Amino acid sequence: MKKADLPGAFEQLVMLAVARLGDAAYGMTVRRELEERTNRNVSLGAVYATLDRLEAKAYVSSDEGATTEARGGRAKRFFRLTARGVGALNEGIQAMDRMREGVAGIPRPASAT
Amino acid sequence: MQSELLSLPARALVRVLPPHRRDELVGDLMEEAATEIEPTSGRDEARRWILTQLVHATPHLVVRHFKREAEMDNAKLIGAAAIVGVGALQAWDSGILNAPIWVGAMVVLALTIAVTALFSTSGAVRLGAAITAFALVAAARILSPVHLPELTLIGLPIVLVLLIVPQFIAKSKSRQGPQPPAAQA
Repeated sequence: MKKADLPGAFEQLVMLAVARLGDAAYGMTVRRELEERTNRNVSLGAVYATLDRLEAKAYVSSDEGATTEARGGRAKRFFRLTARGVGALNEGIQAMDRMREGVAGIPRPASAT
Repeated sequence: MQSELLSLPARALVRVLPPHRRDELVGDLMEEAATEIEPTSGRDEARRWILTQLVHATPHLVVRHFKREAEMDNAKLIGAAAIVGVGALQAWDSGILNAPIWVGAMVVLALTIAVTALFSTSGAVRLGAAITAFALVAAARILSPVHLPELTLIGLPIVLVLLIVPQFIAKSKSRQGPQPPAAQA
């Protein structure tokens, strides 16, 4: 049986950020979460392009939120992981762990053992 | 005013963004600029930050937009084939396609679609191309004031090539088996 596509590395990071943020996951908070936790500059365009791709794969779903004055009257779009997304994320992480197992010089993190 | 955070170049870039993500993205940028950057670094820095983010965001979202458009599902392909068919019938009814040059153009177009679709990895795209190519050849055969070989001699091979040859190539590749593993460190 053909399984769902494994999410790529950045897709996994975005999905984890969405999961961490819960009900507060929208473009700006996802970008900031990624920057703070990965210590890398992340552009909002890359975040939205990835969320768009994940939504097309039904790994995340989205709902429009309320407009605020700080946003110039523009609505937020809140994202959440779907059950299919959770499954794909777990599968991706486990696949990475299996690939890493036994490879010299790339130990598993302490928390994963 | 919040809109003052968008400089003239930033406004131009906003126009280029795909409509389905434009409002969310610009709203997010304005919110972060107004609440995080402007209070600590000033308005000019906030405007520069928004412009930088837009410069990075635009190629990502434009490329993604075109990829989305290219990911046509079966319903759209059938719709596209129907539009081509109806268009061909309307053109036939108008009599504009009676010239031999148009018939030749349709055959060339059908063959071009067929050859191009051979390079597609999507079965749906190949099927849509096969239907379109067959419809074009059929239209050319019906309209032709010049002698063309029987329809089945032209159309069926195109359909067979598009649907069967890529499957055959994929199967023969999978029969080659896994590549030898690289030496481990």
